Amino acid sequence: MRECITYCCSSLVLWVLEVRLLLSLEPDAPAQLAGTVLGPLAPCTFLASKTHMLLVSGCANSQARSRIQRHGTEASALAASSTWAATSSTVFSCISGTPPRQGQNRRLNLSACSGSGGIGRGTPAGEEQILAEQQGSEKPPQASLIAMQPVKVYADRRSQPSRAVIIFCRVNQIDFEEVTVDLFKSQHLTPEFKKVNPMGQVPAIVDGRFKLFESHAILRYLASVFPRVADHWYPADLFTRAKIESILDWHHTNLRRGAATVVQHTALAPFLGLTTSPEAVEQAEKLLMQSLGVIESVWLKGDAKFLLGNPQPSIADLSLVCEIMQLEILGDEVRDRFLGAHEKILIWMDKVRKATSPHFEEANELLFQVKARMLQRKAAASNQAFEPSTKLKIASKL
Amino acid sequence: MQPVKVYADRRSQPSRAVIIFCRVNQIDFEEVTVDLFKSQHLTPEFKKVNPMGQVPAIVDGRFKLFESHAILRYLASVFPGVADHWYPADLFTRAKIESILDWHHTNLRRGAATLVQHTALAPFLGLTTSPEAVEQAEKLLMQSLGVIESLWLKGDAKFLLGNPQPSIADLSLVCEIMQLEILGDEVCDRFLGAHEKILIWMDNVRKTTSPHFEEAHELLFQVKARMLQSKAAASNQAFEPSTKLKIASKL
Repeated sequence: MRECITYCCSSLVLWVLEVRLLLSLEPDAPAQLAGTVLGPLAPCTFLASKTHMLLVSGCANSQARSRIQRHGTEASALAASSTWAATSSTVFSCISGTPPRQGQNRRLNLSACSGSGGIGRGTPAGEEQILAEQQGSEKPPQASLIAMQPVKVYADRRSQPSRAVIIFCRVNQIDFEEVTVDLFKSQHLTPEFKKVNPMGQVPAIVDGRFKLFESHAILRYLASVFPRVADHWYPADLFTRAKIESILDWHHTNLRRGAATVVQHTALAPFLGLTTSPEAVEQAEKLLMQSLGVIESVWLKGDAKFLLGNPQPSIADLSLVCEIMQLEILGDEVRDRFLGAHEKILIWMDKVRKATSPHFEEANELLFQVKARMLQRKAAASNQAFEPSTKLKIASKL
Repeated sequence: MQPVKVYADRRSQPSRAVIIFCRVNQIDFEEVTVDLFKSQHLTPEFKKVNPMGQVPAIVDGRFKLFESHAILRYLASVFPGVADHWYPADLFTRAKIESILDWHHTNLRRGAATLVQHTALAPFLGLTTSPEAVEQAEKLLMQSLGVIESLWLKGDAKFLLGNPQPSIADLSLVCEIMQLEILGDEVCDRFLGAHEKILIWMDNVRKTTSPHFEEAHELLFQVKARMLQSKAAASNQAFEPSTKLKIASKL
């Protein structure tokens, strides 16, 4: 059965690609051709372009099923006219359950999909097409025989989203190359790095000619493009995925804003010579405390193992736990002040650590080294201080 | 099939984005107004819909969801009649859009929303404002507008990333910027006047989502008119020219 499905999908992919090539040669007649050629296949491409995720997950939700039925006719017509890049790439992801080969996790490619091997590098469909359009003379990438380059991950392990991306790559055996961008040496502000990420922030990735920044977007991309990443990291089921997206969005304006601001204004500011603001720290502490409470009461209800009660971790679990881990550099006392009252969070963090061990510990090694150095400096500063009031102030702030 | 319930207050910019999206894509939905000024978002009933007590939020059958970007992604994925360009199935185009959506949270939204809260809304809601916060927000907003223009509206791009049609990122970001309207034309121009590309892009988004765009923003312009009236009244009552000057430069 499985071989059969794989074969059908493979033929479809190759066929679709052929049609796509044909279309690129005949730019004047695409719509008509699409209608004629794809007519019988429309329901198929429709399913691929909009609901392959549900198909994979067995279409468990009856609501979604009836919705698909309701919109079926309209969507078939739509799918017939949808872009080829979109169609082909979703068909790729449609069969993403098929392991391409032994060994490391490589990106989706033609050889993996057709099963014939040796056809060559996978097509980053949209990007290649966009680039080809922009640059005019770029030749079509489908037939190229370039070897697959590992994904370049630009990161500083002192940054929490960098750690999340590195752990994700390691756990999922993604073929990647870590390029260290030392934030303390301002390497993120160099013109070379600005070519990788114009925002001058880590993490950022370069996959072939495709560049991407923002850790959540990177995690989504890696989970979607490498077929051997287990589904639980970024579930194909639309409903589970939507809930995870909601947490990822919430993260930006709550947990991250709280935790990152506290760390910047307390632990990092004195070392980086930044001015701190007591109001900013107070607000950030409040937001952090609130956010921890929300995680516990909304997403770790009952005896939930991972967020949303899922049996296995998602990219949201990894991203949020890495965010909270940075509280370590505030020292044990402050960390406990925030986390001590949140037993569920501590249990959950430990589950995420175990599920990603030993890569979790390895990626966090540098954090603990920074922590040790900070404690040493603090102790030295403490010894030099004369007035007990100053001591007290430092202890309560750091 | 029950229509999707969209809990929204049209004075909130992400609420407007979701409503426009539903209308443009002819999604069968029911708008439930949650009046933020009457604190309806803090009621126990609404907390059952969204425990965060924020709008927008949706309920689709038994499925509940909050966070506007997550809602837009969900609606685009679950309703097959939504055109692909809103949330492209192509992984590479989609990843670039995700990157903008994530960036939005910590840059444009943080800048624009903080500024509006601390200037236009604070005096009316009785919140305390902080000049440092306003200054920081203004800086972040200006930077963010510059980034949009130089990075995602290169050349004669019609929409973000040079796409020929708008995505959920175009809609979300334009709705964010639209809220600057309530700061008054003068302040609005101070931020947008130097960003011609942004103005053209905003107009492109408006046109492709017309007349739903204008309809969803009607309330915003009513609020703006009321604010201008109360500002004018406050201005007339003020004695010292220095106070006047301060208000004018802040609002």
